[in-house]
Amino acid sequence: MVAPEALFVDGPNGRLFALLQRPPRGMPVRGAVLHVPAFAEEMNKTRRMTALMTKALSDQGWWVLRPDLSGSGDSAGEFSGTTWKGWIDDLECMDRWIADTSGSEPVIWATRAGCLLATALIERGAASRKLMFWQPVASGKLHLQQFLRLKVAGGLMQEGGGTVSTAALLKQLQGGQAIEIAGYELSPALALGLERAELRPPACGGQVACIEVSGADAPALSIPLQKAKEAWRSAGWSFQASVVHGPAFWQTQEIEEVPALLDATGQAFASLEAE
Amino acid sequence: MRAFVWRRSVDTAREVVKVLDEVLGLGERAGRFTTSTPLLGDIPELDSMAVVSVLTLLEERFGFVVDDDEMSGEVFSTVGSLAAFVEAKLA
Repeated sequence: MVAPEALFVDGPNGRLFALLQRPPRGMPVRGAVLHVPAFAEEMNKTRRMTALMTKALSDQGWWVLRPDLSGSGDSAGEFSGTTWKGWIDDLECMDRWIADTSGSEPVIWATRAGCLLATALIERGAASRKLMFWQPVASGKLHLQQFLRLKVAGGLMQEGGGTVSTAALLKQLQGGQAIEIAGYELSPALALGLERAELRPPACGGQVACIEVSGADAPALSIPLQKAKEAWRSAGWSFQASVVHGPAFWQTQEIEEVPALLDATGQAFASLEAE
Repeated sequence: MRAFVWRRSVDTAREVVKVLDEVLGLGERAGRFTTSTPLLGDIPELDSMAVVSVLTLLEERFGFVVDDDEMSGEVFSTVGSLAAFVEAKLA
């Protein structure tokens, strides 16, 4: 197996770090993939699954680029200085880089809130028309709410309990004040950008494959994803959605692997390629 | 409108334990959980991030929304108190 290359690219907001996984020598190249990571702690928890999927894809002949967005991982900048728009700028840069380097428009594979960024990237004019979404976040507002909740929950753990509310925290952000949550310094620009983001179908049309993971005995597509499916199809997108059984690996305390997701994703890539 | 009706509260407790198991990775310990098993303060893995993950998973699995003022230490004191909270949300 070829080890991934660590590389630095000059991005619009500073130096961006990325891992590039090439297919094994002699393997016919099927195309390129640009990965868009999940938000904050979910990015850390999904690293292993991302690495496993990257290997599976590259073994099948795909180039896979995994960037760290500004202010995260090994890329330049502090988390406190990041903005939602800045992250879309970073992705635009990485999208161009992998397209130029590999010679083909990448499939954009996004995890969780990364799906919101991927959607914004296409809306902005990126040429890719093939999307792979893992457990997509449909509402940036809800995702922000759940992130703010960490601070409320933190108050529960203390003697006397905290009485901060997510509504009060949101007001602080709207008033221009950054908030520290679970070790992350959240800037208003980042928070409010996330808050406004929705999984809305870009006008250009294309193909998207979504996979959710559920631990329920009878796994079923979530209601938000069912709604998204209808909206995207109405807007002219080919939208395939499925669910596999497994743990919520983006939020479990222990890092989990979901083999069923790796298999289902491999199949979805074959379908995306075929059309 | 609920998609299904819980006939006995032991069903809710069992589902709650499943969610706790999924988020915390309890393994064998989950099999020993009863409604009187203490949670907050007794399970080291149950930190603030896990509390939020448990609530989020319960919301997504059962289809209700938890308000800030419903988040209290009492809700998470035992398996039984958490199950009672879920039942009240479903009622």
